[in-house]
Amino acid sequence: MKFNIKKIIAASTLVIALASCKKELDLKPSDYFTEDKAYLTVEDVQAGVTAAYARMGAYTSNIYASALLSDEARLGAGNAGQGALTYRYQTNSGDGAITGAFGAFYSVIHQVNTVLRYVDNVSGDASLKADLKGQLLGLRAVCHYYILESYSGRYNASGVGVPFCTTTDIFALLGRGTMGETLSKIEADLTAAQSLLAATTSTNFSDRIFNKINLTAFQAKIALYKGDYDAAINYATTVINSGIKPIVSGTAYSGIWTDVNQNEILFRVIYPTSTVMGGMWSTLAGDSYIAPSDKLTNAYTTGDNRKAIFIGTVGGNRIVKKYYTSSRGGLVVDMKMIRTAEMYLIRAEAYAKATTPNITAGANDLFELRKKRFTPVPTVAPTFASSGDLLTAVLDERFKELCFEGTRFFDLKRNYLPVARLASDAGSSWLGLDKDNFRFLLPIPAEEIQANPKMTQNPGYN
Amino acid sequence: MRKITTVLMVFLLSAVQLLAQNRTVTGKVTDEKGAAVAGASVKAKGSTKGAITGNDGTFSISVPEKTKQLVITGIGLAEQTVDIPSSGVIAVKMGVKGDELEGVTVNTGIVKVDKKKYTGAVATVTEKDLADRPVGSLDQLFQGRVPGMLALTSSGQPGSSTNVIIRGSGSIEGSSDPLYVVDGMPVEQGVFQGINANDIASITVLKDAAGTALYGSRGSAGVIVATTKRGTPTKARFSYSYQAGIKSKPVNTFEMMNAKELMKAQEDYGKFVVFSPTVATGAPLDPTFVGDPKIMPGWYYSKLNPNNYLIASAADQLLITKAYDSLASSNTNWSDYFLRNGKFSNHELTFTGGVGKARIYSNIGYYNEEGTTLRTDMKRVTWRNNFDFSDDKFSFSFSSSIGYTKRNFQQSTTGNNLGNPFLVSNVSAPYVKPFNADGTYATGVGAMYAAANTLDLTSYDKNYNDQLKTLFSLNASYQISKSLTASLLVGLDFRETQGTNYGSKLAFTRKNSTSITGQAGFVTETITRWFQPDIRPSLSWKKTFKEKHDFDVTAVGEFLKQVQKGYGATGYGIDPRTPNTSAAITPGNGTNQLYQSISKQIVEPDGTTWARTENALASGLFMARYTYDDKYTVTGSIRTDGASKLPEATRWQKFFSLGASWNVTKEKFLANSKVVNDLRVRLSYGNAGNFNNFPFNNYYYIPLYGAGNYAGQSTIAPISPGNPELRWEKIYTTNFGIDFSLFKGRFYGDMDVYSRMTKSLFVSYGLSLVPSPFGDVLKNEGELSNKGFEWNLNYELIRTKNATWTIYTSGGYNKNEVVSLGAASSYEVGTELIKVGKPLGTHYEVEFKGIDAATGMPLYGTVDGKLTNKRSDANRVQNFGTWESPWKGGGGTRLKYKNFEFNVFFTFQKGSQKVNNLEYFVENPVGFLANGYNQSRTLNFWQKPGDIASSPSPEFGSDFSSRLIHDASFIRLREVSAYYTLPQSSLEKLKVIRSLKFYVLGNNLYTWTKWIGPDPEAGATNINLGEFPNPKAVTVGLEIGF
Repeated sequence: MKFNIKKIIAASTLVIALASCKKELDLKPSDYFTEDKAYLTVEDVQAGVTAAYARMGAYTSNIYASALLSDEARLGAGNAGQGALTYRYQTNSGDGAITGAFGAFYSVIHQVNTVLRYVDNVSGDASLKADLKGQLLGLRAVCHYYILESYSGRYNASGVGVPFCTTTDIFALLGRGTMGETLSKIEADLTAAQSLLAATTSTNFSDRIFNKINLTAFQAKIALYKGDYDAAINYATTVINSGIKPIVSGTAYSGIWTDVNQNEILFRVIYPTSTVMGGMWSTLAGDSYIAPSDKLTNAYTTGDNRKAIFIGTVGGNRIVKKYYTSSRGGLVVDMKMIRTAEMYLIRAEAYAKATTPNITAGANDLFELRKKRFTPVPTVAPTFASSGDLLTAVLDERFKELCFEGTRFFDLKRNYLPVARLASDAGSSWLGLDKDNFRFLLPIPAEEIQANPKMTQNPGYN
Repeated sequence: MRKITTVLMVFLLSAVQLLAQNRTVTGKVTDEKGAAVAGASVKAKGSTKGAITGNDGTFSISVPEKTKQLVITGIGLAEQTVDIPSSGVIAVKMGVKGDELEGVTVNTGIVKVDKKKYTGAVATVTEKDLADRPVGSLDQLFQGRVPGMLALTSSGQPGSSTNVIIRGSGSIEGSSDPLYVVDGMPVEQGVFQGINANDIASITVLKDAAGTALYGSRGSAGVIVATTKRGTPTKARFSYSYQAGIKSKPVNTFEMMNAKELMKAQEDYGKFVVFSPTVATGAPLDPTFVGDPKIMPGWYYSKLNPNNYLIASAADQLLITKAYDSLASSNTNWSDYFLRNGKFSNHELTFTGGVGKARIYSNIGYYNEEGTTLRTDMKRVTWRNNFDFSDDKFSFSFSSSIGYTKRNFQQSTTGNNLGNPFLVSNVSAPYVKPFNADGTYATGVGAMYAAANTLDLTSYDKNYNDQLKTLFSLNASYQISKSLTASLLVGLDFRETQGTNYGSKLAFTRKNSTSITGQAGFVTETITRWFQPDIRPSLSWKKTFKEKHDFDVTAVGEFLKQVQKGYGATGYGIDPRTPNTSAAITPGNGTNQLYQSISKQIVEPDGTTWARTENALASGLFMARYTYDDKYTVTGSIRTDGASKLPEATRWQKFFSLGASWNVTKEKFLANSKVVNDLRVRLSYGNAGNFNNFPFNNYYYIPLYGAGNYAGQSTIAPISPGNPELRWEKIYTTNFGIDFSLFKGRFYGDMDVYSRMTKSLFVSYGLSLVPSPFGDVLKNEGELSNKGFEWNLNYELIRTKNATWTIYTSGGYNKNEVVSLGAASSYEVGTELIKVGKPLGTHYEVEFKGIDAATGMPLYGTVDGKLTNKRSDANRVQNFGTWESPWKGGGGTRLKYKNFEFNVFFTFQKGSQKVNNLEYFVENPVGFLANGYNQSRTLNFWQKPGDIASSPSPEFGSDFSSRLIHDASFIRLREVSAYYTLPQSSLEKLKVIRSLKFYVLGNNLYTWTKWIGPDPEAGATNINLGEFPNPKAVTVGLEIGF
């Protein structure tokens, strides 16, 4: 039991030694990695870009909001409150169904901006790096476009825009600017992206990433939105003429909706096991939350194959069938974000609205599409007395072709048309929106208004 | 060893004897129970002469003529000085050493301080209040025992932990869990199932800066210091104790409708829907409403139903009436199927003894409890070994415990789901039969099958965990010189919990599942591990100059690490013949789609999950005390802590404390007082941190990136943004207290007033969604105040040779208030609004103003004092109090008469308001009655103009409002007990038996409360969702010592 004094002194110096063991306090996590190890190679950047695509599920918010705010849906027989208040136009800036897209798309943009900080400096193949950077810029442009479409008004260069975000500083506070400013930055990104992306061929085309072709498809959409009809026609023509994703008919078409094939799909978001897409509308057992409206159901004429593909009945209840059955099990389907069919419709609309309308060309686009959709196949192209009639027909065709794909509400908004529901679909106080109704601009999320003093709320909301 | 020592001492003594003129004194040393104390040291006062007692306790010492007194010391015994009588044998009865007696010293876990020289506020829970209670987690014993402590046990699940808050919540974003210290070593918060409460000798609660500043970074929410039992310095003692008891079946305090009443309520509902004109249109809701016989048989089979009975043939009408009568007369009391009387038993073997320089305490316990709802139980084996050794300069204490606990759980005993027996047994219709004709559960799809489905699920599934908990601590010290001592504490707290959750594919809910994995049955195996090593060297210097200037200076260093690991694996396709084993998992592939999954099991306070995470803390502490003439004491401490959880720039923080006390009784003017025996005033000020309660993960300040997968391709993305500006949250406490003892010590206690200010309080700062997907970050911007007072009063009504009768009460009042939130004046957290000027936990809800008697519409108040029929979040106000009770405490009485002892103990909380979510379900005509669920007898919905109702008419749904917020104050008869100890005289005849004790103990026997629900204490602190109540328990026990 003898202790020598030296040991005691050693023990007491330990007191001081321990207090100064600064190194021991510099702990690094094992489950995640720190910034200096995040993106070192082009493969890491590739993984960063993939993470951005994974967030493109943001578009489900557009799909849901468009259905709830427009005339394509009604509350289903099994609705126990899902989206019901939104459908009745009784919600405000706290309603996730109409505010969700805001944060979701900016979250993709955050990921894009994060990876953009690294893409030029990592090691690896230069052409791959350029292509990845092109994808990132394309993503940033497209996401900003969708935010602009929802949260700003019908396009008007001097109208209130949405912040175009290029920073990853989480404390940054950005103001809205004008729609013209936002759109010009979107266009700049798109141009830069096109110049960086590798050439697209039918062999290297992938509908899960951005490439020259599908980015052109988005450009067509954006040009139509902007009112630049010649550009819209050109972009749509480029996509159609590329022949990479031709429009199809019969089982080749119905198979798109059960994920048997990826025909017509220019870009999709993949849900390998999730029921995100199907679960929005109903359960597998047929509890229908949001159902196709009578207006939509009645819109299909005899011989139109789409009615049976898009609208179904389960357990006696009408359901959205577009995302119901799947080759991967019920309700598990991918999100089809943009398809070639829409290119025909964009071009037809642009022909109708161009400074010099081309009614024949527009009618022909409708004819090409209808040939793939009807049994028996129509043999004569439709004719229209005026460009106005053509436009009405195009919008009607979009209603039937693109239902539950997140476009109907925005088609009405773009064309300054009201939402007019049928009395059989809706209650008397939510029969629709007149064309000037404030609800055509979705509300900025309440938490954004609270957090960002530079953000202004859209009129009519609190 | 002992023999050698004795021989050696005898030899030394005989040598000394030769040198002076001496006389011989003989005597015997015994302990308080009369047993011989061997190895005690007997010294002549003022001389170097000494002797050691033999095995029979006797001694013989030769002392100089001048010597008048002997000083007797023994390990673990209080030093005693006795006068030497002129002749005869001295009998010395020794008490247990002072520092192991309550109230004499304060054990801060770092040092032990004479209570009279301690400047802080403490509370002590003694062995008496800890032992023999039938609880699986020792923190359940705190309620009402510690002034200023709110202690609420959220569940009756065997072994559940208690939510403990000392002197009010000190953080908005972080928690307010106190720091727990066992035998000097900090241990994991909230995990006590593996520790045997019977091993605890005493618990000291440090509440103010004088105590908590010693723990610096971790002390701000208070420190609970537990000391375990040590060996007694006696011959070997062996004892066995046994206790057993019953925990009674919980009672649903909502009186649910019987079949007849529910059928009638359904009929009333149907009548309204079909006949009553509505406010909206003037026409009935649905004149064609038939009702579903599976959902609303009371209407479907009603004689008033114009869409069924009234249009049926005479023969069918007979059948319909028969069906109605048959259902109305069949009553299933669902709680009988889910709930039961719980049973428990406890066996313990204790060995203790000591001789010479060594002492040992060893206890083996086996606790077995069956919970009051199906499939809940707890079995625990604990083994504690404490060993002490000390000689002149060196002392060594080794403490260890191993606990192995197995607990079974119901699938869910909390929350709003129909798998919760406490919910489903309330809302299931009494006319439904639990069994099919073949004896299987009557399962099916729909509300009427919910209870049978849950019973079916309970019978097939398994959910249990096995926990191994070990605590080791070694405390060695060496006295370098008379005044200088070096010590080293090394401790280890280790826990491993292995959980298994088995979902059988045979259960109805799985057979009926729509997903492939749902149908296949599953097994989830989880392992979580907690590993906390701690090392603490210290050096202390104590010296008294001129018998008046008493100094005590200590320097301490500490390094501590907390490492957690946890992961789980879930697999599917389990063959029911090989249940609850991961061996039964069917490997997943593209065809069967039964992919296994791995999950991270460590959940940090910010909700992030981890498979492995760790933190470290390094500290240096310097503390000093100076006492003048036992009258005036000043203390001070300074501690520097560095935490790995904070950025390098702000990681190191200094904490300090200052204290002073005045022992007034030592002053001349009180020296001869007949009234005042003891009077001391104390004042302290200082600060402490909140390291264990930080509201974020261990790496929150670092920007983190994570790898993932999207559709088969790998992804890399930022997970959290980091927070380089993060700093320590600090609580500054000022405390003033009085300790007193009056009227010959018959009236004694202490009182404290305090003010605690939390500074650089973490507040949540919302980020713009444009540049950031991270929601919000924390900023150190706010300020929070807790102010209050506490009392602990004891009065001996009777003090005679045979009887003492004491009454006592302790409690506290605390006022909590948010002082500042930095830039913001309020922000919402969940359903609460944190607002400057209001206490935390203030309910934020729309005011319910009753039901309009003319229309049946609900009435709600608006923010500007008007009435509206529509509930809107915009009209929420904060006028309904807070869940955190300002008043809480306890009190009771203790009567000792000869060999009997009786105790009655009450606890209370007052001023707590809580949301009763169950009420929303059981008084809800639209959402629940209409969907086939049972309702409370108190359901009173509006049916016709003029009705004074509490629920709106079926035209309008019930909604959340202040209607559901109720007073959750309670007074609880926490404990009634009676003990009988066999008198020594009768034991002596038995020879072999040293002691024998019998007792009966009742816990939670009655609760006085306005709260309607199983238990005002159970559930989350702010809301009750239909929870596992704390059971009533009756225990009988005996203890035999050999």
